[in-house]
Amino acid sequence: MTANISLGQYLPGNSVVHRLDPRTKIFLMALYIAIVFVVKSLVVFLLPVVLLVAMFLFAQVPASYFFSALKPMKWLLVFMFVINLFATQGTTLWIDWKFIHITQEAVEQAVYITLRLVLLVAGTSILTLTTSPIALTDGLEKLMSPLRKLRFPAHELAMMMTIALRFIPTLMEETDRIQKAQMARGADFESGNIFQRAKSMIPVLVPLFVSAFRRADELAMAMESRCYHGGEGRTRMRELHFHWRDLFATLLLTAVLVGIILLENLPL
Amino acid sequence: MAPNALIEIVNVGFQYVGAEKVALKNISLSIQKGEVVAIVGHNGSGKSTLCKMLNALLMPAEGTVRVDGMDTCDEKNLLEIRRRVGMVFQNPDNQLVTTIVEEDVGFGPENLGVKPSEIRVRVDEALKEVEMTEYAEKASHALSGGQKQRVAIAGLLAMQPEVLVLDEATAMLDPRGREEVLSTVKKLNRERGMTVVMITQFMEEALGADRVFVLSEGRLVMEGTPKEVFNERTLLEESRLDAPAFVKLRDELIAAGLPVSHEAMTCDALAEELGRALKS
Amino acid sequence: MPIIIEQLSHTYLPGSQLAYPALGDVSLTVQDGEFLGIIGHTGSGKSTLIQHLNGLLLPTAGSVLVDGLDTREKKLRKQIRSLVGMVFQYPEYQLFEETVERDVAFGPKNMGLSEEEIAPRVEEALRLVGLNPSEFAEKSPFELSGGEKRRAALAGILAMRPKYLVLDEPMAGLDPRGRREILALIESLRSDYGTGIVMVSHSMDDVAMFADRIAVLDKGSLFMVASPEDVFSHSTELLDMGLNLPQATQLVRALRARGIDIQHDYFRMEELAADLIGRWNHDR
Repeated sequence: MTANISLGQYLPGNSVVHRLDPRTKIFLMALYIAIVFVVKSLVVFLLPVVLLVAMFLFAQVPASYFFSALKPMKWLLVFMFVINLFATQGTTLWIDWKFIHITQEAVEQAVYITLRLVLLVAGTSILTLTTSPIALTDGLEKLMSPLRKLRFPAHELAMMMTIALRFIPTLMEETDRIQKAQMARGADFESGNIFQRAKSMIPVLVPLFVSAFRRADELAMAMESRCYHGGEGRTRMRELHFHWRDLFATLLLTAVLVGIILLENLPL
Repeated sequence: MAPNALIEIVNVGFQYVGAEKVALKNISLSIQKGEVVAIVGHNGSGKSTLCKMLNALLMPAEGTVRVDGMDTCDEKNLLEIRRRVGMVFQNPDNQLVTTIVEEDVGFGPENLGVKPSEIRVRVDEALKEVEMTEYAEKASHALSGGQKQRVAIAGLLAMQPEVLVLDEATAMLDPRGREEVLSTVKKLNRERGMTVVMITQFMEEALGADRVFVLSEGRLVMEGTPKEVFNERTLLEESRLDAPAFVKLRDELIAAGLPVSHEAMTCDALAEELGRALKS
Repeated sequence: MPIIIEQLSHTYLPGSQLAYPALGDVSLTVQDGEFLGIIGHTGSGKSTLIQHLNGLLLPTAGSVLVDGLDTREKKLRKQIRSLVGMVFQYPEYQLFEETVERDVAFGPKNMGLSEEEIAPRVEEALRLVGLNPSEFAEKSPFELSGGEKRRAALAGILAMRPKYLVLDEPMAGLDPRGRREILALIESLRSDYGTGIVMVSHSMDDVAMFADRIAVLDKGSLFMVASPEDVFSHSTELLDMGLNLPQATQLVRALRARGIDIQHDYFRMEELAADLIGRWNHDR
């Protein structure tokens, strides 16, 4: 009984964001990332924050996912904030006590960098929350397909991703089984220094690798039996189509990006 | 070629590279349309090798294999042969390609370049045939062994095959899963006239077949109806095979003088016979 | 000393939304040197139960004592795992060493034994499973056939000389001859060495052959634990649970349904055959 771990945690739903074409969402993420990096001043920073809140609302994703996306990062965020607070040079001193000198610029830097990280992590999580892994690989395959003219193996890569995603839970279960079998033989994965612990993984990794190769062999045979012969002539049951909402969302975010660039660079 | 023969195997021989023994020697048999055929044999008898020749995964070194008249060695026939001869493998996990059940069922038709709307129709029908419709949007890895095999069968049905080959497809399943798979396959044969080839080492599974082929040490040592084959006890023993338990009991009772018919091979048939014999 | 399972309950992911109660209030004792079969429908908790016997899983409630040692005590776990050897399904998938000899030595090595102590154990274990040491010791485990791999994996556990051997479907995927051989090997460990055997199996006929007692699990609880004769006399309940019956039991039921009065609840084919033949001769 393994916990159900879905990579990136896809949250099924029917919101407008869910229904956007995955290619659109990938492109919107790129725009969003650009926005997060282009903002420089405090007031303009509000725009991506509002954007993030709007994304969560439109995607109908509960706020708890915002916190769980950031949880693994919490110490990194604290670290970034503190480092920048003390390491940045500045002119306007705010705190001057014994050896602690904190300037206004340092505070700004620390806040902006931390905020950028938060916006990035939380914002990109929307992509994986609203897009199933298959839709993502489909979208990526479609986006990469023009590159096939340049001999880029877009289809093969997409197929690899699909198969990898499919086997992750299976391989995790197998790892668990193998670990238990070796533990029953007295294997100890917990004690010892880092070298000892790495070595103790050999009885798990070797069988896992051998098994993975065998699986690949059998899977290849099964795929060939089902007439798989590469990407040539292949159709897809689920076709990707653009709708008005894709165009609208793209225009909206492009406008925000352009707007921010102007706001940051025009003297106001 | 016999009039209704779907698959014709003539004088086929094969040896794996670097192997000491010959895997198959002089195998000739034919499988008729609509038949349920069982190919049984001990481990290493060559049954798996023979099985892979049915859909051109392996080519014979000697002799020919023809599916619907098409020679398996001819490259241009490859895709068509594999469409017509659908194969279910032993490991339920290692034949599911995608994360979601209905996606996996659509994998075959996608490979064949079938129109998207048509694929959808085929997938829905196939899932209905194997009674897995409620699982269409579920994750493939989370299914039981029997369910996974049924999804695999659906994936083959979506390609509209003529023959379903089960390569020890029940060997890794629990009794319930085995039952699910066998009853699905029998239903397909009964209702759709699907030709079925079962490769198995479980004699009980061969009981339901129309004909049984026995392989031993790479050779075809026996062929006939289940009744004929299971009566050849010495030959079975030499082939390192076990007759079904009820058949063994029946023979023991007959040897002790009980008037039990040689036709009885199952629990119910034996009970019928004994009922008559012991009450009179 | 026996393995004492006292009111054992186990819930996976307790307290979360995905909490799953796999075992509820199971109490059972595995006697020294007995052959205990464990049967139950898929999902009845068999796998969960046996993983408690060597501390791979810890009780959510209740306790498991192996020779008086509590599985919850972390310090005792190593000792417990040398007392209770566990063979999982398809054990050949755990082989990893460069040679069969080294793989079989893995268990004893983890027990802290010296080279001098390990070598004879490895040889003994290989002989026990029918793999000639001079032929197989130096081979890579990955060169072996399926059946040989399984034996090598089994040898790896036997080299630890466990007092109890717990096996989860040891005959899965084997051909009829292979099944017979492994089953005979397991029984010989019991009869020759007094090893206690706990065997989980879906094959009623295999369980019926050698078990002293059979424990029946149903939806996480212990339905009953009794002699095979007793257990298989509850054929209706077993069928309702989705379990098969030994073939002899099936025939007994079918005969009774046709008015033949079979007194005994036979579950072994030889005994049923003797009864029928005797009955026939008596009637002449």
